[in-house]
Amino acid sequence: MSKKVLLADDASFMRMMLKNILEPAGYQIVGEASNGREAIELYRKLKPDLFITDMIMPEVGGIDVVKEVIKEFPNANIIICSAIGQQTLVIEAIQAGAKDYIVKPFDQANVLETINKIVGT
Amino acid sequence: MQNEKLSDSQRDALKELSNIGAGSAATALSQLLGKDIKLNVPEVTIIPIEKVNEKIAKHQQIIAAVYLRIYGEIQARALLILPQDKIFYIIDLLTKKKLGTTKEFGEIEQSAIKEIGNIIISSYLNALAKFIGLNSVPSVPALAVDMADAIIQTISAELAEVGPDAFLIENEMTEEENDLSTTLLILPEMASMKKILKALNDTIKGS
Repeated sequence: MSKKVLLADDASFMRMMLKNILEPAGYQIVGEASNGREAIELYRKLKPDLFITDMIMPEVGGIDVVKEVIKEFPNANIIICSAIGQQTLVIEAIQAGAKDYIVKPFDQANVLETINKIVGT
Repeated sequence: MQNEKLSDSQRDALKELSNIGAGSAATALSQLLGKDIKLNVPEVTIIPIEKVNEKIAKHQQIIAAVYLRIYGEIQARALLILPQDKIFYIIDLLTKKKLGTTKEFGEIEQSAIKEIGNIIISSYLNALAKFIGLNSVPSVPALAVDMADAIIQTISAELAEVGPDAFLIENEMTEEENDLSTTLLILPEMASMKKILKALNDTIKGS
């Protein structure tokens, strides 16, 4: 059975890019959120196998989204996907509970390698 | 700080900082577009805020301006300017459409431009963090597509809130024969401009 993935990014273009990488690789995109608040609500509702979230989003930022989700679902598989590659923020994201960090722009191989490492196919 | 001259070593350090930022920006754009991007050494200058309008107005056509705020150890505004014809070309490459297909800005095109702006500006912020140790993050980007004069009116209220000087970074980038040059304005608040120059000094002394 294909793994369920939730995507959160305020840029519909980036969600489309991720979708174009993940769906042909056998992942099922079960939800898309364009802000942090919506992402948390969708996570509760959909309980995906994997959650990929942007860092800078309206309403609730990525780090707070991770903290909120991890508080309720300690085993959540979360990957941050952001253009900000500063070490302090990567560390902060991992400490908050993210399992990995992808810096935008990404290439297909890198995204799939990171995701497969966490949830497999 | 207004009209203060940069020392030669500060100018060199600033140039190096811009080189790193421009290099990451070109790499990012190249990865996004799946094309080789050639980069010339970027021109970086500090200009008085009153000159910002002139720099935008020189584009006598419709431009796309990605605007965002910068928070953290540096408080600033950033504005990335791209002429409309270049944007259409970039979007065609990005969405793998036949060149010349994109002629208007739909939702996905606007989202793509904002993301390009976000990635290019973040490349500079990442360079700033690496080179002089000042960590900062951008806000969600906003986009305005209009004639240069209208863009100036849109941002005039914001310009009133920043310090008296701005960084002007002119990136000369080409993809094959196509000019993809961008103009990036970083408009720090006064305290942040001082912080950046002090950090540059510290970097020079430490190197």
